[in-house]
Amino acid sequence: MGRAALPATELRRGVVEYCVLSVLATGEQYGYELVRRLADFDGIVTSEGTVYPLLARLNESGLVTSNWRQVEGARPRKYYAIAPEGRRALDDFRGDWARFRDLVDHVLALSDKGQ
Amino acid sequence: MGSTLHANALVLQFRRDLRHATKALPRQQRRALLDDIDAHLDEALPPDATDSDVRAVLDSLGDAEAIAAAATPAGALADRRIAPEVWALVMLTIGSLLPVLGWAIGLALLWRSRRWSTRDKLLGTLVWPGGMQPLWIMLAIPSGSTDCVNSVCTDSGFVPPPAVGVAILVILVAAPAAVLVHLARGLRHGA
Repeated sequence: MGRAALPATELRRGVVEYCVLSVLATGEQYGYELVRRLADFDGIVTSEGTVYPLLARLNESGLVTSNWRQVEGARPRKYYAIAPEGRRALDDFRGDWARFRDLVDHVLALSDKGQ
Repeated sequence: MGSTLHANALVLQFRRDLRHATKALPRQQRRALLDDIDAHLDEALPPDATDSDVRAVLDSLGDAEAIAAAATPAGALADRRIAPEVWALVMLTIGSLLPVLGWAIGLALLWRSRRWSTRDKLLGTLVWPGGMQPLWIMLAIPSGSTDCVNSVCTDSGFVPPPAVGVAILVILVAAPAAVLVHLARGLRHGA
């Protein structure tokens, strides 16, 4: 892994969960659909397969719910939906993220002005 | 539907790799992950997918080791949720040193958790009511004594036969301990 890739990997850690919650906050989705939606945002996930363990953890934590469903004529699909606790966690994160982002911007601006 | 999943050599090899890489995961978690990945492959690959199509899908999915590794560590959100369950176990056992309240708090945390089944919660509640509190009470109650004055001995207090006393003591320690181990295992296996 190159030096430039490290910060992105570190930044991604701990944030992807909330990106998943945010996508699910727009409506219930089955696993593959959700993974493809996240893949549209290049760089949010390192690989599509790692989203499933993440969904399992969110499910186990009670932040999302899931159920297998057979839609007529299609294969069984596991649908995920955001739980009320997930919405609360997402709202908390939204505030934390805005504050943190502003702080980092301010700190980075110090060196930016010096250049 | 599903023919590529069960017939393509590259897919079969990937599924074998994933089964091997996830061997260390708890059975239930591993089964769920393998089902999720199978469903993904089934959605992504048309029945007439070429090897080139398959490679593209597998590349996006990531290698089996990486997927297994992602399933192993608990993320920040999951970590945040473990603490109440650990506290439940502590309060149901050691916490019962705090009369009534300690066990009641443990009970509330036990029933609030989504990580144990109703059966586990009933076990945690009924075996043993009060957690280890009956044990503390038993140890605190002064046992019967025998006083002898001028070769005349008198018994005071209740003195159970030794075998009965030992059996009660073993049950009061073993029952909550066994339930504690059972609940801790359920937690580890994502029950």
